[in-house]
This record gives sequence, structure tokens and C-alpha cells, in this order.
Amino acid sequence: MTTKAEFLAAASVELANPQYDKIAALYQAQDPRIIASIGAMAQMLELYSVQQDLAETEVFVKVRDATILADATLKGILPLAKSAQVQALVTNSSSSTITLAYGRRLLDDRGRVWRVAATLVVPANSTGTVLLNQNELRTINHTIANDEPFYTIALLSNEEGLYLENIRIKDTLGSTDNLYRYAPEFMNVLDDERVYHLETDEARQVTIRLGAQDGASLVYGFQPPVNTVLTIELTETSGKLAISTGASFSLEYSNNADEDTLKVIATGINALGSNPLSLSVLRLLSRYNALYDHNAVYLSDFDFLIRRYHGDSINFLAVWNEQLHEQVHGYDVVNIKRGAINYLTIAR
Amino acid sequence: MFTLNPNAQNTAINAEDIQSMITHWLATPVNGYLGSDYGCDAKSLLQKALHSGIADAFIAKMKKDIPILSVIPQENIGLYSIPEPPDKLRLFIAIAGVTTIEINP
Repeated sequence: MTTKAEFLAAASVELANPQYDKIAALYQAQDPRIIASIGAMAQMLELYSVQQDLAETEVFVKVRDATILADATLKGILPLAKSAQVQALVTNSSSSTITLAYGRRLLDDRGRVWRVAATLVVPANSTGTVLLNQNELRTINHTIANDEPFYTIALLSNEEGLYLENIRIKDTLGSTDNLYRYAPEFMNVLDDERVYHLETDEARQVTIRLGAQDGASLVYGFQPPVNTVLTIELTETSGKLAISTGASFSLEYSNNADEDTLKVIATGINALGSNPLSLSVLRLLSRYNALYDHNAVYLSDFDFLIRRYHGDSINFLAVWNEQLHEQVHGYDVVNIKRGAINYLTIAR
Repeated sequence: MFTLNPNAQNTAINAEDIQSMITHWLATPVNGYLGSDYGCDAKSLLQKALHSGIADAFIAKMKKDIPILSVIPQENIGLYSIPEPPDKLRLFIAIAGVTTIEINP
């Protein structure tokens, strides 16, 4: 990298040239009319020099935030978070039974929304334990606007800065609830099977991609017809929290006066939640070439990898795995996690 | 930005040069040049108490940005003002008692 000082030194050498006459004299006197503009040019050249330096190394090590996000996008790393979960002791000091239904919203002392994970019935003057998840449900109804293979729906990011945790998509064609399955990159998808794929871009905007059924040639799952209404349920969470036992919760709305007497205190932390992968973690992940880095995976690719490293120095090569070996030779404990290679090399 | 006589063989720096340096400085807002705090903020002199020392800071900043002013004899640089009714104060920088520049925020 060439610094501003180096550019200024070069300019200084040039301006020592006597042909510059009075300007050279004024430069010696540090006239700001000359110094300031040369300084600004040197600063701009330094900024450009930094970018050029980055561009030279970026081929090998991903440096810029935008490159790292693009790399994460290509690897299909989604910006998903996990919600915190606590066990809470519910004390009912009223004289009637209180039911906390599944999905009932409670607030903690920071105003975060917690939802009841399983319905709890607390008898009068008694206690019970409830599981609370720190997430909120957002439902979007989307009407399929046109007949298009691989129809995409862009998810607007949460206005309160919550992270996406889970997506549930369904339609009600044929008066039944048809759920869509998450099938990354439409792998192993049957014709007419309701699936979706998630994508993200360099701005970490999540997009849902539906299947394609284009006559006989293009079949990837199910392509919903025009005017189908899709119900998209998004679970969103604050991600990683600092919460400890003893934290108190209150109902967001109480339905009757008895519920006002409820006391909900956290007694155990099941999970503190996690944030989407941060840029520093993604920076580390981007150093790996791709998800497949030519390591042997269980039950596959042994033959390919051995050939890859030995080239045509092997005249005969047979590779088989534990499963195949035991089909022929019978089971033996020594075969566990072993493959077998038969090879023949002939010196040339 | 500024003009120099291309035929001038004389490389001596005279009062007119220094005047145009100061004019240039007065016309340049602070941070107007990339990577440099060169420039003045004359409007910051307004609504300030006269004894706040801001006028000295103003002159100090000018001397820092225009190094030649530190070289020439200090008695040759003066800052004076003329009150102009009803509510104006015109500020001038005088160099060598010959050239006078008005500060015009």
C-alpha cells in the first residue's frame, strides 16, 4: 500500500524542480492554496491504494463485508436465530382455576415477549411449572400473483429488529391445511410435493422460493396456482439474552381479575438463545472453500478422492466401504469405520 | 482558484500572495479538503463573549493552517474592527499595514 506521506513526498520531489518557478517557492513556504489541494489528492490516492490492495488479496482471503455476506449467501448460510427458553413457576393465589393456553403472551421486565410452550392449568391456590419461549409469531398472508416457476416471496425484515427463527408455510387448497416442507435446493423432492427453499442475499434479506411445475420438463415439487393464498407464519426472536433465574414475567393482557394475581418467576434456564452468525464468524467460515472441501464423507466419494490425489499412477483401483465389505465377508467389529482399498501399480 | 502571472520571473513572496492565502483560508470551510482540517469557521465567532478567547483561537488556527504567517514578524499582522451602526462589527486582518482583508462570514 502507498500511503499519503509517500504520495506527498513524491509531489515534493516534483515541486523541487526549478521549472515550477514561483509555485515551487510558494510550496516551500507551505502556501495552503498549493499544499491543501495536493494533500487532498494524496489522501484520495491513498484511499484508492487501500482498495487496490484489498482487491489483490480478496481472491485468496475474503476481506470486505459485502464479499463475506455474498459468500455466506452462496453457501446457503441463513441468518436464523434461536430463541431462549425458561422454566417458570406459576403461583395462583386466587380461588379459581387459571389456564395459560399455548401461545399466551407474557412480558419480561425488559418488555420482551415470551410465549407459553405448552398449555398449563393451575388449580386454585396452587402452583405449576410452565415452559416459556422468547419469540413472537408474525403471520403474513400472501396471494400468488402470477403463474411462475420458482415463485419467490421476499420476507420483509422485522421492524423491531427481531431475528427470524422459524418459517411455517401452508395453503388451504382442497379445504385442508397443506404444510410446505423445507427442502434446501429442492433436493430429493417428489412431483407435487409441497416444498420451499430459502435464500438470502448480501443485505441478509430472506426470500422464500417455491417449486416449479412446467409441464413435463421442469418439475421441482409443487407450483401453487394463481390466487392461492399462502399463510406464512414467522417465528421471530431477540436471539441471545442475558436472563437469569428469578426473573419475573407478567401477562400481556389479563382476561379477568383472577389472572391479575398470577405470579410467574423463572426457576430454570433451558436455553439462552443464539443470534444469527455474526460477520466475524462468517468471516471465518468464508475461509473454507465451499461446503464440500474434498474430504471423504461417510459412505461416499472414497474412490473419487483417491483417484483425485493419485492421478493416473494407479492402473487398477477398487474401493469399497464397511457396508459392502460386510455383505461379502460377514460382520466383524474390526471393520467399524474402515474402508478397504485394492490397488495395483505397475512401474513404467 | 487563484492566478499567478506565468511570465513572472520573480519568485519572491509578497504581501499580495499572503493576502490571497488568507482569502483562500477564509473562503474554505473546515474539512473542506479531504484528509485535512484546513479552513476556518468564521460564523463560530458570532454570539460569543468578547473575552472568551475565541478570537485568539481563530488567529492561532489561521497561523497553524498558513505556516508562513508564523515566519513573518508578528507586529505585521493585526486584527481590527470597525463598528457599523446599528448592529454590525466589520472585522479586518491587516498584513504589513498595507493589505487589508475583511472577514465576511
